[in-house]
Amino acid sequence: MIKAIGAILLASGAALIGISASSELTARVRTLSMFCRALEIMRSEIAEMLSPLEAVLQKLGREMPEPFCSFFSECADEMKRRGDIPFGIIWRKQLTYNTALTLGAREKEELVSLGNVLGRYSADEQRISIERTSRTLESILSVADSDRRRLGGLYTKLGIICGISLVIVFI
Amino acid sequence: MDSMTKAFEEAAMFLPQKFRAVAQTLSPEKKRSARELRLRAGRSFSVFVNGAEEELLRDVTAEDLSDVLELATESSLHCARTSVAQGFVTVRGGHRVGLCGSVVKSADGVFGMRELSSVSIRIAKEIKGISDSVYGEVMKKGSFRNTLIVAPPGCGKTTLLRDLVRSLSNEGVRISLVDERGEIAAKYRGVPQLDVGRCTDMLDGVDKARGSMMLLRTMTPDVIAMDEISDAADCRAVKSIFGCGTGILATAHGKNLSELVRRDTYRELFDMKIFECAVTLGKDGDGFLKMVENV
Repeated sequence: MIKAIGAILLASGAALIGISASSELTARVRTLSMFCRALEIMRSEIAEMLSPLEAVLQKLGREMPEPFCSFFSECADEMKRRGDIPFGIIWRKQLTYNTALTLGAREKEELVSLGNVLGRYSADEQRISIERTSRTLESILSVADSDRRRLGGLYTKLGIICGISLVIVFI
Repeated sequence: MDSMTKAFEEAAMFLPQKFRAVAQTLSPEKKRSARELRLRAGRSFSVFVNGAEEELLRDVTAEDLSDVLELATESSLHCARTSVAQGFVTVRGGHRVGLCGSVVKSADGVFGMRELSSVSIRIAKEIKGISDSVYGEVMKKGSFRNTLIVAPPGCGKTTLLRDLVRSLSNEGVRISLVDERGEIAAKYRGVPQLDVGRCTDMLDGVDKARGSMMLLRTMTPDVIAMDEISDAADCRAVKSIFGCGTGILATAHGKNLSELVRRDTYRELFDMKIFECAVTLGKDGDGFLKMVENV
């Protein structure tokens, strides 16, 4: 009986690991997709509407789904609280410590670089930077999506198979 | 904390952290007397106090100047294009961040500033009551007299103008203020950071000629106030206001009234007898002299 419970727990654990790995791929694709959308809004607001950066972040905080709305709202709130430090520092801190966002190292680096440009250069220069970051993220998104399709199902199945194997071994 | 020290602390918030830390170690007397904080790329960070520049720290980088500009524009340089092209940004608290660098012209013809070489933060200090000694001449027997304040740069024209506007406004005189560079009222999100009185309407970011006409048409002012009438367009604006029967309170750069009268730009204003009263300011040691003359 105890053996059976143990085996079931192990099987569930293995399956969960597989499902979790698959979910992470999905979450990363969603994060990249949302940031691409956010960058498009940012580009339009800054380059065409000449909206102040804080207002742009507040708008994104209202319009994006969770957890992205919290991320942008927090950036806007921090700007208001800490008007004495450059925005790039605020942006980098939020990207680094916000655990709700599933960002890979490469896209994080790109976004951190973008933070050092936002609000600090002319509208045109910011537009160029946002577009460049957007293209990079889209390229990363394309690879991540392909990985998700290819590996997502595989991880889930591997997890379940491992789980079943463990059950067989123990029982 | 007195208002002068508070103004210094406010202005210092636009410095990058390492310079701010040094500025905050200044004595209370120096903080109260400081007129300006200045950074020069490749050189020093200094404070202008008691008539001289005092070096506080070296090794200012171009990046430090960009940080100041970013803080001054609240990380929205793209919104401050016009202001930056004119070489300054007015920040909350009414302080003015002056910019020096390479002026460039963009494809759409707007000038901008790149590669900053110097940045100066001029500390706005309002001195309430400074106009008390001249108020009686400006408002003679309850009637406003068109007044021109004349002084060399740095002698307190804007400070006096602001206080006169405040005093007149608080007595119920409806003042329309053309605040071209946004440094008289120093509005931040629509709210004046410096006291310009309860009956004052402010228009900033527009030249004096256009601003005066807009205010005449929409605000029915008793008096239109403006700072630094300096060219033919400004003088034409003054003449237009005079023609509409509205009072005029203005300032101009000059050593004294007689020197100003001799200049071609202003001669017509005096020929037309637009101004009835002139207040001349000048430096005398550590203080400022005020002289009131009938024009």
